[in-house]
Amino acid sequence: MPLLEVRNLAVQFDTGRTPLQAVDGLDLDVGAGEVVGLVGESGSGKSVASLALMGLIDPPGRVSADALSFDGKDLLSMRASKRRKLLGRDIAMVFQDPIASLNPCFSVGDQIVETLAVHEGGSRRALRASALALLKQVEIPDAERRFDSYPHQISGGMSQRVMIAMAIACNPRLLIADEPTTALDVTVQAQVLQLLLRLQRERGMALLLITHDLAVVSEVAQRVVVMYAGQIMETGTVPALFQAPRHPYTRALLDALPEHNHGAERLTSLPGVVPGQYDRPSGCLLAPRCRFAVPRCHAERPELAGDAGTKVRCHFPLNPRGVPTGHPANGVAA
Amino acid sequence: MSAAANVLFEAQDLRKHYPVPQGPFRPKALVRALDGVSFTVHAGRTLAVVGESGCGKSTLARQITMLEAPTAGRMLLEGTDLGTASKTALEALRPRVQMVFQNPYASLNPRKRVGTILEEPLKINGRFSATERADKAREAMARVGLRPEHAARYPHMFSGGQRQRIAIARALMTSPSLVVADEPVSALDVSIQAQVLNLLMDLQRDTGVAYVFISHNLAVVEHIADEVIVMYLGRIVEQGTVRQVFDSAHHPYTRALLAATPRLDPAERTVREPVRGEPPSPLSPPPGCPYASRCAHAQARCREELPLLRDVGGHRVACHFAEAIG
Repeated sequence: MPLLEVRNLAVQFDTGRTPLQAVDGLDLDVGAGEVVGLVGESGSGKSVASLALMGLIDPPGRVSADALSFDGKDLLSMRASKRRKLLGRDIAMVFQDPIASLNPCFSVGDQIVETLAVHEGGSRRALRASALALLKQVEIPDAERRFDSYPHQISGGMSQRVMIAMAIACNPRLLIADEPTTALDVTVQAQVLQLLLRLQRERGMALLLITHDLAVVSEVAQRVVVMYAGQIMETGTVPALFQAPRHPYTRALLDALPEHNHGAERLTSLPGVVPGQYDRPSGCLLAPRCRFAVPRCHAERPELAGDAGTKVRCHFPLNPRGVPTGHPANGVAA
Repeated sequence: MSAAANVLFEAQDLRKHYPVPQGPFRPKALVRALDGVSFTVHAGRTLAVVGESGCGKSTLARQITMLEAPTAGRMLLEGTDLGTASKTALEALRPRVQMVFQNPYASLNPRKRVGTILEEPLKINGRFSATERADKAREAMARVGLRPEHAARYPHMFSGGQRQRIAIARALMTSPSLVVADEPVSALDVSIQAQVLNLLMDLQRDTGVAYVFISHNLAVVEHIADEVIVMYLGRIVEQGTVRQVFDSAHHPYTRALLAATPRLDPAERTVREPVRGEPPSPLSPPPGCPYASRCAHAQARCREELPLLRDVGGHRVACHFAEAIG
């Protein structure tokens, strides 16, 4: 039984002419101690999904799910006060922009102490000692002095370390990291990723890593979920999914990377843009941009099909040679 | 490099120092944002500038586009010294250098129609009638892959990728010989990034424009650049052709940047020598090599003596121990 089990999660915002289905039928399992990557472009719903898991969607947003359970406990039927105690302690989150996420009016030490005081309690001295230990664990040099620093006095990489210290303060079983390194320089990104992975290994913590950077996911995750316009397009294990993607969208994302186009004049690009609120197609969401699309794709939305670990939402999933199976064009060619 | 004829832009020992107030009654400190930077840009080629935040990339862009005057050093554009040129000569040269900014959501005026945005450079710099300007704006939209009839729309009606196309079209309105692009694809998604990079390369092929391409994304730089300079704390630490820098980097910082870049292909992942720490404050740079505090190969000499750019294995590296490192 997985640590986190999500079935048919939907998040809807009632704005404008038609409600926006930001997340549509998301199924997600994260096992204890597992590293799962959630990838997708802007507007694919990956951040909204993680906010929904943390109970951070405010009206007019509406969250519904068939099942949302953590460690066997049903988060949907749980009393709000009980749920609030669990979130932030057993499930913690690290956000994208560390500078915006820290309160500029309190020293970083006080902000870690606050997390500990809410969930664990204890004397002022004991709390300060645990907060200091956390700062050392996230490899902040000169932790005693940094304890009393304010967020504007430390760099972006340091701020993200403080955010991580705060998130791991109560020994979470699951850490959701939403684009934790996007705002950081590449050398600092490497440091922060290594830190997250070290903590994940040492504490046996599960890590849900949300990112748009496929290379980061391929380096750190065991499983990956690819989202597009609110729906899962493909799930699979790493490196299998990156070596032989079955969904044309995953294929196109990988092909668009400069490192897959060594020596080529032009990059292979995916035409068009992610559909917005009013122009979501009724058939396959990718159909208007997909080079394999046939009338069936425009008419009928494919189901997410496959066995437990590897699923794909496509009428004609690609075979390992990159040819769509069962596609009408193949019949003609053969 | 080859004949001097195709040198479009040249910077010689460029310096830009900013005085920074330290509080009342205290002397101002000096940030050396650019500290002796020399390079050339060849007509129709792409020079990439890479480095972390605070290395002076954007300061460099502001000097090249003549938005600021450098503290010291010379800049030559199409053979004219920008420091000593007359006002009229500068007026004629300004349209030759244009800029594309990182964030297309911030760089387009939300209150102006796209057509007006595109016509503005011509209004300022050219002598064209209103109909000529409108025609040129529509032409430019078609050239960057937008529908000319959308000239009457406002920027918010376009997606991020389309807005960056508008920003590129605006930069090309005055037919510049040099476009400075400061992180032009960083704000865009992977699939859109590929579209915009293709567009930039197509435009270079068609119009012969040269790019100074500022980026921290090494995979993008490797794809688009002809030459690369790697900057660290206001100085160039490595300079060469794209193949020299990517295949045989000698400076430990360049090697660390390459190693820190996440790779999809497991075979391309190098053994991680993680860079320790973060760049030192530009307010109090250490004596000696600015990278010494983070360098795994640093020795006593590095902390005392500033390494200068010198030829190592065909390209230029600023490291005392470049040969020993690789």
